Amino acid sequence: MQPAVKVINLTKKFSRQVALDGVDLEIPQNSLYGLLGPNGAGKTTLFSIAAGFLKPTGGSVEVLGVDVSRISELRGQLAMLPQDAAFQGSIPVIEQLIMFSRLNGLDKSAARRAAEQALEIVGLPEVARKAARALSHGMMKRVALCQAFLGDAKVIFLDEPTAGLDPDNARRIRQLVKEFTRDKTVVFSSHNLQEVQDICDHVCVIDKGRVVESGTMESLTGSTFLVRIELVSPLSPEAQGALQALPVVEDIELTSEKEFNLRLNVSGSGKDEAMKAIYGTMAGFEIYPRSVFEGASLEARFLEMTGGTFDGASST
Amino acid sequence: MMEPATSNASRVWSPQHVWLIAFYSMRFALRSGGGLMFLLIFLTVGLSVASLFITPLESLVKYDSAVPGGMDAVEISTTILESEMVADAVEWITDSDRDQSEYLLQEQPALLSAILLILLIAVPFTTCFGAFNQTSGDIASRGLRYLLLRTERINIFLGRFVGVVLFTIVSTIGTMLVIILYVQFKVGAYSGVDLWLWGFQGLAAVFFLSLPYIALCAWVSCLLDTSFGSLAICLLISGFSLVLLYVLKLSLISSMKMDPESLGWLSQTLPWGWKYELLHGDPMVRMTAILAMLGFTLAFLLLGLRHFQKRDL
Repeated sequence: MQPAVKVINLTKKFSRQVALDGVDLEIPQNSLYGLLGPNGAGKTTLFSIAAGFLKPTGGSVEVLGVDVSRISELRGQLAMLPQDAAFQGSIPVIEQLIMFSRLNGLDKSAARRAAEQALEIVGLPEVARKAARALSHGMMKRVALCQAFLGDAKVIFLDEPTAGLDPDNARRIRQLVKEFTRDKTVVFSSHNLQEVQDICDHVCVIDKGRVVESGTMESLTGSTFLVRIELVSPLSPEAQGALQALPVVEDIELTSEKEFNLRLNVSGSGKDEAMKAIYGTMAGFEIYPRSVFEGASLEARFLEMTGGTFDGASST
Repeated sequence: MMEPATSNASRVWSPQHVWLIAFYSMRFALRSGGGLMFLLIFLTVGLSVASLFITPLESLVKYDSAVPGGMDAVEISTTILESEMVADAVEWITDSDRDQSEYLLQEQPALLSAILLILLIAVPFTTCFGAFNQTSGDIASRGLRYLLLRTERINIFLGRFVGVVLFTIVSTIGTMLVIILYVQFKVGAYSGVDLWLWGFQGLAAVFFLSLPYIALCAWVSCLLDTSFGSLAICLLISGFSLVLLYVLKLSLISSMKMDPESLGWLSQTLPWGWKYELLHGDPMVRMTAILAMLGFTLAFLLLGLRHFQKRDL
C-alpha cells in the first residue's frame, strides 16, 4: 500500500539556518503518527511544507501520491490545523467556515450545514455568529480544529493541537482527535510525550532538522521506563550504590539531595516487579519516598535520543 | 461529516474560487477597519475637493445677491470657470491644449470638471489606503494558511485583488453620487443629464486610474509581512516616483539641453501621467489611456503574482 505521506530528502533553509536537513519519512495510511522533537527541531517546518505553505529548498513531499506543489489536486483530501494561524478577527466564525467549505467544493447550503455540524462536533455551536477575536484561546483552538474536520479529508496534520490549553480543553481535543479520525491518516505533533504515547501508533523523532528515529510506538518505546523519586531524607551513597546494582536499573541521576531519576530496563508486567525491588532496596536503607512519578517510556526513549534531561514536566 | 461535492480539482486557476474569495473580501471589508478607513478617507477627500470650489461660490452668490442686479450662482460660476485665467490654469494642470481645457470648462459642467481634476490627483494616494492590506496582514497572522489548504495561490492573489476592485467601485460610486448631488443641489447651474453623464465619465476615470494603484498595492502587499509597512511603501512609491520623475526631467532639461515639450512621454511611464487623458474629449485618447491603465495593472499584477507564487506563506 502506498504511504499516505512520503517525504523525500526534504531540506529547508531560512537564510543560513537549516531547519530541515535531508528528511526522509514514510507515513503509513490510516495511522496516527506522532511527530516529536524539541523546540526548533523542524516539526512545524515539515508540516508547513507538506501543506504547501513553505517552499522546500530541496526534496519533495507527496501526500496520497500527489506532490504538494500541486496542492489543488488534494483539495478536500488534505486538512490541517496550523500552529498559530489566525482566523480573520472581525468576521463571524461561521462565515469563515462556510467559505472554507465552499472552497472545498460544497454549494452554499451544504457548506452552511457542514460548518454548523463541525462546530457542533467541537462543542461550540454557540460561537457561530461571534467574531473570531471574541473567542478565548481554547475556543479558538477548537474552532481551528473544527476547520480541519470540514469535508472528508483523508490526511490530517495537527500541529501542536493542545499547546497552551488548560487540561480540560486539551483532554477534549485529544478525545475529538481519537473519535473523528478513524479511517484517516493523522500526523500529530506535540511536546506532550505522554499524549503522543496515548494517542499515536507510530512515532518519529526529529532533532536539529534530521530524523533521529521513526517506527511503530512499540518498537520505539521498547522496554525503557523512567521513574522520578522524591525522598523524605537525603539519599545516602550506599543506598544509591544498592539501587544502581539492581539489574533493572540502567541509570540513576541525582537531581537534588532528596530527589533522583531512575531509568529502568523493563517490559510490560516487569514494571511492577522492578518497582517492588526498588521499594525493597530503599526500605532496607530506611529511606522512604515522599512521591514517586512514573514517566512514560516514550519520554525515556526521546530523552535518550535527543540528549535531554528528565524533569517530568512534559509528562503531565 | 459532509462529503465535498467535488474532490478532484486539478485546475490551477479557478474563476469560481477567485470570485468566492473576492466576494468575501469585499463583503467583510468594512468590518476589517481598513475598508472603513478607505471609505471615510475617499469620501472626505471627495467632499473636501467639492467644497473647495462650492463654498467660495456660495459666498459670492450670497454677497452678489445683496447687490441690485447682481449675478446668480449660474452666472457667477460660468463667469469664473470659463474665464481665460481658469482656462490657462487647466491647460497647465492637464498639460494639454486649449481645445481640451475648453472641452472641460465649456462643453462639460465646469464645476464638476474642476472637482474631478483635483480628485484625480488624490486618487493614487487614497487608493493606497483601501488596497495596502490585500495579503500582508494575513501573511503576518498566517491566516492565509487556511485558504492555502483549499485553493491555489493564484486564486487567493487574484481574489483579494478583485475584492478590493469591487470595494473601490462601490466606494467610488457612493462618493461620486454624493459629489454630483452636492453640485446639483448647491449650485443648480447645470442640466441634470449633462451633470450625470459627465459624472459617470468622471467615475470611470477615477476607477481606471485606481486600477494600477490597486495592482501596485497587491504587489507590495505580498512582498511585506506587515500591513503598516505595506501602506507606507505603497504611499512612498506612489508619491516618490513622481518626485523622481520630476528630478529626472529637470536633469535632462538642464544637462542635455532637451526641450521640455519633447519630454512629455516621460511622465507617461507612470499611470500618473495618463490620468487626465481619461477625461479627454477625444474618445481615441480616452481609450488609449484606459488601455495604458490596464497595461500597468497587468504588469503590476504579474510581478506581484510571480512573487506570491514563490514566497513562503
